[in-house]
Amino acid sequence: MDKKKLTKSARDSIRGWMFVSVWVIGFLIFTIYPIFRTIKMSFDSVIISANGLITEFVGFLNYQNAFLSDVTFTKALIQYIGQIVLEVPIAVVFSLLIAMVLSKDIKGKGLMRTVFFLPVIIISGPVMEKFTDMGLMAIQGTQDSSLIDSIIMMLPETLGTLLSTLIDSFVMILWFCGVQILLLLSALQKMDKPMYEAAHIDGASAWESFWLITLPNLRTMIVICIVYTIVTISTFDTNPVISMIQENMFSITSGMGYASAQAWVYFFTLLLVIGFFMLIYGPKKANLYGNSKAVKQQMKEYEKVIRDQKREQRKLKRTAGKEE
Amino acid sequence: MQKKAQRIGYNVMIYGFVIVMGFVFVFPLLKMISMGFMTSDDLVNPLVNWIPYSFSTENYERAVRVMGYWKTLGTTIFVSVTPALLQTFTCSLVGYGFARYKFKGQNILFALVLATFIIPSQITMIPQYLMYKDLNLLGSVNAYLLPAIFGQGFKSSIFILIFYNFYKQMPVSLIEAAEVDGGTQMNVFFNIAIPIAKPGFLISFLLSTVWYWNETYLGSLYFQGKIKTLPIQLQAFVESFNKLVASEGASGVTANEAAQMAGTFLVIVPLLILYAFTQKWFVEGIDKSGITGE
Repeated sequence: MDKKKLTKSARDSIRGWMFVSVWVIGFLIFTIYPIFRTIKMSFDSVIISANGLITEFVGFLNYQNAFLSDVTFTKALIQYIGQIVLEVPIAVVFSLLIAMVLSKDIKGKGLMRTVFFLPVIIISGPVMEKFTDMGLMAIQGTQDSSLIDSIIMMLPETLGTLLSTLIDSFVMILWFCGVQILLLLSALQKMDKPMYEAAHIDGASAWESFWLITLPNLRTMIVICIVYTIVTISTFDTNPVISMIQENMFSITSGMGYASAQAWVYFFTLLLVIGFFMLIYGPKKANLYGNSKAVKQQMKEYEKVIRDQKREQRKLKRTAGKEE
Repeated sequence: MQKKAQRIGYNVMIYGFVIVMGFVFVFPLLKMISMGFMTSDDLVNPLVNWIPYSFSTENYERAVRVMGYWKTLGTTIFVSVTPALLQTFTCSLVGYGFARYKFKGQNILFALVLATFIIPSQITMIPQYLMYKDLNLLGSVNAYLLPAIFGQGFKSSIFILIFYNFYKQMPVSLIEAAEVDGGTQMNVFFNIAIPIAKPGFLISFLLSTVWYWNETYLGSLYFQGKIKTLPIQLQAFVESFNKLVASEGASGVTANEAAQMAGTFLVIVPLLILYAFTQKWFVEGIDKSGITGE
């Protein structure tokens, strides 16, 4: 029995690798290899012909074209950045609001949870396209408003388009919130109730305890929600940038090399956007409310109050037990 | 007195918010259903807002023909359920490996799993497309199945995370007891781990099915028009509509809003039915999966 000679940790190592090996193989074939091939292709001119692919090294030409010659691409990219920067905060704030309301003891909570999660099940590119075409995703009552139209006309073109897409697809932003609402809701429900009670006893208003207790405690979850929202919106079918990349794949003039370069530019933009959000609201950063000394002091006091309360309760129980 | 007034005000605010938000969420769906029943006269009639004058099922009947509904439905179910099954199974194995064992390189590997969530498919799809072309997988469901088997399906990192969290909750003492009794690792996995992670299997399978169902970006690329799912059919709805009308010789019928909404409704109604029966698992599964970070 060779097996017995192996230590437990060595055995665990082998077994662990055995279980995850499927993923590792898949990762190498379907992710790592394609990533490197896309890098290589982005420096090539790739054209599909009857005899297979014809590739030719062209250096940075594809990237140059993407930024300097292809006006539609840069425009779509800027539009995409603006859209994310605008929509992600809206989505996260609404998710948080809805989750907080649902975490209260209200009637019909289960039903509302079901309603808010429903869009996750049915959301797909073509369906959203149809809804937006019919104006069903717009803020109702704004479609034919001359005031909004004139505001859009007054703004510079990029901002104007941004505002009009925001209005036209506002409900769609909310529809992206289903998962986030549930994540925040279950994080809220796991939060320490006595903490709030102690804060309340100390005279903290609901507003204060939101900023001092709820938000700092939810920080990690909110960060997860921000990333999730960014990725969901970025990979959604109606995103003009990604449909452009697919179109270019089969275009005779640009081809797969150019599409690869665009894909890389797009990925870096996505990373930059995530980085931007993490700078503003990342994990573990010293934050105005969560980590200030005064707040920590306050927290300690709350914890002390809670301990005292518990001790008091135990005492009461003991005396009650004696009386019996 | 004042306190009571305050509480009433608070309740009005809370319920008001929930009801308004709920309505905003379902508004497009309600409008879609109502529009689907409208005739072209109703659409232009300013007096008709929600309830059409004459309920016409014509739009739905025609949409069924336009999309070849029943056949397409069967295809869609097949194309979304099979990869979902494979993906769920693989992710359950991988999640178990991460949760149960300590091994070298584990942390890096797990970080990679999570990182794949951020990598957009645009980065990998071109070489994947060429690969499937060489392997003759284009235009068949295998282009979905192959990555799914290897844990590289749609959003598989989420499912691995879900399983990881479920298996982390396994009592170690139970496993050790089984091992002392001579159970093999596979025995432990099948007899102890899987039963514990049952809700994980359910939520993963359901979410995965739904996400495969709704995917059209990669679907249209890999299937090359040879496999048509309902959302892909919806993409080409107006075009196929006009073709059908021309072949049926019905003049004056256009793919108006009502017709398109009827088509949209037919595409999502199977999902709505699925959700009606499984919403509890969806909603509670996410709660139980412990993604909420312990």
